[in-house]
Amino acid sequence: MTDLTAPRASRAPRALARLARYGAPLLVAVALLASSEGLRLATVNQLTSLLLLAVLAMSWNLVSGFGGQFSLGHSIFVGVGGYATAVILDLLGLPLVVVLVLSGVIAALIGVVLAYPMLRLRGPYFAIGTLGLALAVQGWMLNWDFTRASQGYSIPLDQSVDLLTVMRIAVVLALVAVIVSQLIVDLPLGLRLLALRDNEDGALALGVRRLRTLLPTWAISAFLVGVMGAVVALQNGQVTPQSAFSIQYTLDAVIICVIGGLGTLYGPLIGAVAVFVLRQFTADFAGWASLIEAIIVILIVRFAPDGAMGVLSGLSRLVRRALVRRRRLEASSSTESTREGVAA
Amino acid sequence: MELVVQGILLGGLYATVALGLSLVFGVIKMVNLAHGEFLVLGGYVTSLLVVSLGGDPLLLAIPAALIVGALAYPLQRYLLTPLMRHSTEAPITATFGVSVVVQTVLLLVFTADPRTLNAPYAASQVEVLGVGMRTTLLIATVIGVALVIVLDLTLRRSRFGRQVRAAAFDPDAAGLVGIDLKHTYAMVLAVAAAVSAIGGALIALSFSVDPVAGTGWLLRAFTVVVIGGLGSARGTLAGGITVGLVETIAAAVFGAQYRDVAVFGALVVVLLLRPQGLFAKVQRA
Amino acid sequence: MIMTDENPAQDVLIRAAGVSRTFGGVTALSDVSFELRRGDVLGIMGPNGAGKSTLLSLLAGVRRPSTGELTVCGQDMNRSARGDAARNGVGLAHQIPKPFRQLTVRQNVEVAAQVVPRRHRAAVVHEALELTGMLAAADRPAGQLGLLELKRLELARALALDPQVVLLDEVAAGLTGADLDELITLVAAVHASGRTLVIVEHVQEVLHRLANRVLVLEWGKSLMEGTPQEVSTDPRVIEIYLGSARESDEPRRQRPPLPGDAPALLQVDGVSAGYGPITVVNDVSFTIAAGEVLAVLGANGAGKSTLARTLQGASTARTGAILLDGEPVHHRSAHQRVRAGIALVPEGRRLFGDMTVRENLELGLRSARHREPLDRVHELFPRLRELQNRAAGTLSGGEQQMVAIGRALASEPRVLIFDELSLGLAPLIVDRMLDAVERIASWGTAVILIEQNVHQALELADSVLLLRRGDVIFRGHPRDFSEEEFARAYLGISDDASS
Repeated sequence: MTDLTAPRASRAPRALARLARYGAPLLVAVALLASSEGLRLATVNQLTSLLLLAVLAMSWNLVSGFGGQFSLGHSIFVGVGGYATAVILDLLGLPLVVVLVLSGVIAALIGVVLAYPMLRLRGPYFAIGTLGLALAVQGWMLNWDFTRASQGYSIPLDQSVDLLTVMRIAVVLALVAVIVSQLIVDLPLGLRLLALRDNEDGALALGVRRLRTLLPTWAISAFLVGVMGAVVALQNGQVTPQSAFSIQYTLDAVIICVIGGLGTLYGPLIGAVAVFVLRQFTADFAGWASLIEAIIVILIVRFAPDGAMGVLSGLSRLVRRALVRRRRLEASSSTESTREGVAA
Repeated sequence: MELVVQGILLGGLYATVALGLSLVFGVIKMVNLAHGEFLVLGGYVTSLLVVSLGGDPLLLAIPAALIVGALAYPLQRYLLTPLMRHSTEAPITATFGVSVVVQTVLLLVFTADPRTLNAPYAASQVEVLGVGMRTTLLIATVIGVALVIVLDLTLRRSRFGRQVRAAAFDPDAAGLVGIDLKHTYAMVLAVAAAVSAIGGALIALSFSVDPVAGTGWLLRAFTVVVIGGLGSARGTLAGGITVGLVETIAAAVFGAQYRDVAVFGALVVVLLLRPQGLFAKVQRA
Repeated sequence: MIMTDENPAQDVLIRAAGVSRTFGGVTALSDVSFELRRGDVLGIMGPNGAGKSTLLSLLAGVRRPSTGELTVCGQDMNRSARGDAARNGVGLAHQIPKPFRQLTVRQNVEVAAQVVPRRHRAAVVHEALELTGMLAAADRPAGQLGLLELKRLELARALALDPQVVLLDEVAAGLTGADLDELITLVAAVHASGRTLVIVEHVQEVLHRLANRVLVLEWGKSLMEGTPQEVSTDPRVIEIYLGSARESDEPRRQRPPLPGDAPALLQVDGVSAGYGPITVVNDVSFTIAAGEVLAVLGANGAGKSTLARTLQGASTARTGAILLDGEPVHHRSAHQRVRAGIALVPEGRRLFGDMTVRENLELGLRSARHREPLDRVHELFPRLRELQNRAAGTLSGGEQQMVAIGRALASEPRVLIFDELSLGLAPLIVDRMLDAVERIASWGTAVILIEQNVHQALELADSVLLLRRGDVIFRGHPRDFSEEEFARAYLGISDDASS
């Protein structure tokens, strides 16, 4: 019975850490909302873009980072969300919040319908299949009268939203994306997801059901990206199939997550900031940003497969090991270190 | 009838376009997301050679193929093969990075304008089975079929081809008989890139290339490979013709703008029905 | 785990009646029947390829029986889906633990505990960690664990399914000395917690100390069932482990005895090798001269094949040196070592099945023009000339082995390693193969012969290397090789536990 005290002793700091993990993003979001009033319009617009990029990357990371299913089809959900918002605002004129949630739900529903067959594909076939799907859908949308290919679908003027409100929506959406990501990691669903990614055979042998794990994750991801697409439409004031269904969105998500750290909680955030800053600096030299990004992606895959988060945790491990070594030296017991060297 | 002839002729070109992808997927078991860029690069290098040296684009496609192949060798040897030890996703992600690099460099150097290769015969027509066809497409098909035959014979008859097949069948056992896997893999990507470069020149001759055209061609090549089965040159020809037919017929029925939708839709459907490919023989477990 | 005897039928947890399993045309398991009652510990043993893993995969629901009836914990395994067994009270611990490396130990166990009702989960996880002694390490990432801890985690994951039956697949592999003792104690504790066990094991000590019954498989059939003592003294069991002597009195060995001062062609110095955290071969040293036959003997899992792969370059040596003619080769890759003159006839032959015999042989050649070695191959195995246009995958086992030997000979090796030459071959074919080995040695090739059939290998050998769990326990002339050493290495009737 003495053993039971061990987990109890560590329970308090663990709960505190959990509080911090959920509380910190909440504080940042509140601070952003509170201070947004005085910002210049250009800054507001840029912040919105950054936040949306982060939401896209975080949502993609759920399926492709944590879930290990390399989706190249997420651009579909951006387009679906954008069109859903434009059309609903135009035809029904429901309250904005309802419209946004509805757009996400529609994207999630379409996501589930598509995922049900697509998730039968494994590894590279899944990537190629989803890419084919994205391009097929884009090709269809470009030629469908409903989407008004050339001139696009405008958000009706009386329903349009000012940029500051759009940014506030983006802040809330980003907060939701962070919290949802953390929740998934903390819940059994996340555990099953990581187990499947780490070793699918092993997870199946332990009774983990593949579809029951991947399908909800995929739906959540599609929902978030759908809302993100809706906010993009609000920001631009219109949607065109050319831009809303562009696979550039998927490529952005891949680049950001690889740079920040695939399958890590904060990697997509770090990656989004990095990519956004890089794009700001190279805004005057069109094309250079993607060249630099792609080269960074190759370098990271080759030399730091876990991205910026991997580099950071590697550094912190080095520091911790150095500290431990010093403490050990002080205690002048150096016999253990050889054993650890073998294990590593 | 006209549609069928057109589709089949298109199929020869598509087989060339997909041959390299199929070879790499079949032997190295690696998905090369930069395959489309090999094609586009082939078109651009040929075009550069035509501008600087002058001469027939078809002849100049041969040095262009050598150049693109020479670029691919170190890519496999020093980047992709070392990554294969890490995980299966790492090389895929790396080829994705490579494809963006090539696209961007082409955009920066040549701008987004499409390029076409010009030849005296480019605008002319010939009659095949009573159907009028563009000469370039006919040439592309003949070259495509020839490449399929040459590659097929190389794989089955030459020592290098047998080493490649051995490496594909059992990489460990290939090492046991003295085959240098790293070199063989790099050679396979180089050959695939060279064949693709010729395919790219044919594309530029028959249609046009632009820096970001690679993604669409990658998907088209994938459709051919998925339908035709992996690592078999003859299967690739069958897949190419099937895709050519699907595309021509879809264009006739729904309108030309639905070509891509039909092809990519076919890809998705075939993947879902038969992940191993329609014309693939059932693999031993 | 409440034991009731109100219904005796419920007490039979596994019932196998005439179970067979075929792969393609190959029968891996044929007509196996047994029963397992609650609280039993059943050991399963048998040589490589006897069908142990197949049987275990059927019990775990990874595969389905081809014919016969198999019921595990009340579930008909003929119609179970993947993962059903885990949800139905069957835990499986693998030989090579493959944890979710990015998760912590606790999370690994929690994944498995998802099959138990939510309110029991925390308790089940805690119990599994406690029983396996992993509580202290619960928050460490599984990717950082050492071998014994990995084995503990593998057991903890199986226990977190709250299983009635735990299947243990060679969990002792790679462990020695005190670690092995600890593992045995741990397995005993698992049994004491009320679980019924099935243990597949090469390390005989484990079966001796834990099992109350042992099922011996050979060629996919059940050879006998009895107590560990009955089994380890049964002449049939000893024969399948050590092989039978040859009937003919004609001496196989034709070569004159090796001169004592023959210079070393291959020198192996302190080589260790393994995979992941497991050390399979530990500090092996020997030399071999041109024309010498070295027999490498040892029980399954002793490290023979790993040694072969390490010498040839398919695995890399962790420590030590390998010198060919005084030149170090241990940094070279497999294909470079083939060119330097070290060839391997691998276990399972590994032919290129979709190519013809001729293509397989030609792939072995150093260059396409230099074809003389093929004449020698055809002289050794005239049959290969007739078969040259057949696809290698369609040949019989013996014919395939000829192609594999021919393919290795085509590279004109100076050192030729045979890994499990006779595995899966009929006695008559084995005779022909060993005759061929004698011929090859008489050409001046150094031969390293890894062989299950101890008696026949000793007939040919100039020297013997006996391995036991990765360590060399005998090195010397065959005539100095004692029966006791034999028994110690093969059947684990050992003094090791006390030392």
